[in-house]
Amino acid sequence: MISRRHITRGLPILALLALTGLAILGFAALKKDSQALDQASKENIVWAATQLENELLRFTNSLSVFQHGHTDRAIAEIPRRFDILWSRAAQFGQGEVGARLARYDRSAQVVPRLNAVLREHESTLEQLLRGDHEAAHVMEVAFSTLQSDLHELSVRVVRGEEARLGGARDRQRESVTITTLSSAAALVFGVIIVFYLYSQVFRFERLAGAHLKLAQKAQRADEAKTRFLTMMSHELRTPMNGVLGTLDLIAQSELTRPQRRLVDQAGRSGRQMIRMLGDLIDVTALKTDGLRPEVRAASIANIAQSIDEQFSHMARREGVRATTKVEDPRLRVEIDAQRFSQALNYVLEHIVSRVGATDLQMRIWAEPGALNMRIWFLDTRSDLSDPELDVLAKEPEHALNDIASDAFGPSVARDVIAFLGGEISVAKHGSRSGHVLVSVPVSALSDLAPLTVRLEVRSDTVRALCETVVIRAPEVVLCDDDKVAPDVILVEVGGDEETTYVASLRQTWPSALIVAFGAARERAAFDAVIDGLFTPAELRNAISAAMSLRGFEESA
Amino acid sequence: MVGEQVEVRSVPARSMRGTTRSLALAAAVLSSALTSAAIAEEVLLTLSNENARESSPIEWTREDLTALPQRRIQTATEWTDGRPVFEGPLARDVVSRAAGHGERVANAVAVNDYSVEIPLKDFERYDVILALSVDGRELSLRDKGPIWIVYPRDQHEELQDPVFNSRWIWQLDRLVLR
Repeated sequence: MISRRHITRGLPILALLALTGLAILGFAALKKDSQALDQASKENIVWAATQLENELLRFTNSLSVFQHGHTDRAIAEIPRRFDILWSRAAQFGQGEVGARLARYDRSAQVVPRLNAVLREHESTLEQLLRGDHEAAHVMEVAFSTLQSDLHELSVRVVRGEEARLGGARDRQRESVTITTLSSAAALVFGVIIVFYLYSQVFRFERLAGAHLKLAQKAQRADEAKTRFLTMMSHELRTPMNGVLGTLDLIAQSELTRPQRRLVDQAGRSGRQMIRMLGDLIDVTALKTDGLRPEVRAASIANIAQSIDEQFSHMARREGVRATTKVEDPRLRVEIDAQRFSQALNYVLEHIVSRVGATDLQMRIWAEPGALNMRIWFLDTRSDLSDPELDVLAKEPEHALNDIASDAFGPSVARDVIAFLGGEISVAKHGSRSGHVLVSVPVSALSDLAPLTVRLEVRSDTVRALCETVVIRAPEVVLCDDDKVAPDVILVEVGGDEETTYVASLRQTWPSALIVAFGAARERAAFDAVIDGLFTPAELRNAISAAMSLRGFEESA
Repeated sequence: MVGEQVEVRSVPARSMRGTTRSLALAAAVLSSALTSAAIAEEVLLTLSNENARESSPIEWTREDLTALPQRRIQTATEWTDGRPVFEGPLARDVVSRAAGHGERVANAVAVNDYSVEIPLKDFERYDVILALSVDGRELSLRDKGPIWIVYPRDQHEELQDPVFNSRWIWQLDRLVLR
């Protein structure tokens, strides 16, 4: 059965074909009209045929006048009439008019006979000029015998031409009828199309109105659901905080090892739930409250570190090998780094827990207009499941049927990245490897992030000297906060435990560059060594050399 | 050169023969000793103007007509085969000798008294000629001569309309301006 949609789609083509057909029909009819008109308006040969008859009559009449004594005038008239008759007879067979005339004389051959008589009596004219009445009589008899035949020829021409014109008129009437019918058909067809399209427009207007009402209803329902979800999230966090507080109190009491393990597990689960509830509220707010990203300048190194810190616990717990390569670490970009890290963390958790990746290689880099993070997973515990991988990039088609807690993370990641204006794409390489690419639009800043320097000096005098004189420069920020990962650790060397001390620093801040200030015993243990007094420029050069040497690669 | 209208000769027009040559013609016919000079003296065309009754008709001999600037027209017709080359003076040059009194048409009359009215606009708009020869041969009474009004039919598409066919009058004898 042909659906209404197919009819609507096919109608313009059908209409075009029909109108083209009618146009061709109309053109053919018009052409026929024109041909009929041409045919009807051709030179009227009736005149030519009757003139031949008339001229013969005039000529024989001049001969008769000559014989009856009107000699002077008749003598002048006879050769003139003879020539005129000759010219009329000669017209048959010449040009289109002559050809048409000759067709009427094809059977009777009157004109050829007339031509023969004219040629036969051409010399007789000389006798007439000498006053030979007998010759005139002979000529009159000879020509008069053709008079009735010429008359019949004239009648044939008249009737033939009447029939021809009648045929032309019939053809013209026929073509006019065709033109009228085709025009009427085109008009009727056009009216039908207009009515049909009008009804379709009316129908679509009604459908659009109905759809709008449905959409408004769905939006109201969605808003109500979201409000309920937000409210419930808030309400759940309060008792959960009570649970976590109680668990902390229990943990401070004396517990057996199995009991402590259970309490720890309960605490982790509780905190995970708190985090999920927080993210749920956050994502809901993104969708409903029209929030804008909190964009600030952040160095790529800091963004990478933030992601790494969140993921490192899970990586250790799951025994996942992971490396991160940061390109242009000090380049700053304008981005909502917190939400970007939040999304990436969900992506990484999904790759580990659901995709089953055991070996991750991550690369984060900026390019004009975008910050990208590509996560290669080189091996998985089992063969890759397309739906598990695809859920990171797009919402599953049967989400309602497959809804589960595992879908929460990818959903949050997708929503947050979409909120930041970016996208997530996935690719599979064989049965156990693939990659996920997260890309968000950013505007890169041309200046570099300030260098965070941590001072590890024993002497207060040296510290004061460094702080106030030596490394006071706008591109350097001194920071002793243990929560902030330094870019550079400036170590005042000396003492027997120098090597052990440097090793402990590397373990605490694996990404930091360790620069020795003074005469180091184990120069190889440091990334750079500055002997004696130094200037800020010397310090930066040393740090740059060390950064280039390290390639800013870190491992989690 | 054929295929277009060409002015082939341009000499000053000579004075018309204003007198009737009928007696000379009769004498010539009767004597059967028609000389070429006598032929030249024969009146081929009479031009008159009904709006100027005081002026006498102008008679044109072949010599008078050939003394005017000549034009050639190569064109197909419905009465001839192929595309013959017609030659003769421009019709407007001839009628201009009697025009100037608000005339609009020329009544063209043939030797058999067939007549047709030709708008004088035709002569102004197109290079209509009074053909005296075709393909270099003088037109005689036997082949639609001695004067045949010829339109430049192939040079103007609109002249192929059948309405112009009736204006191709042959064996032209008189032109009466009205």
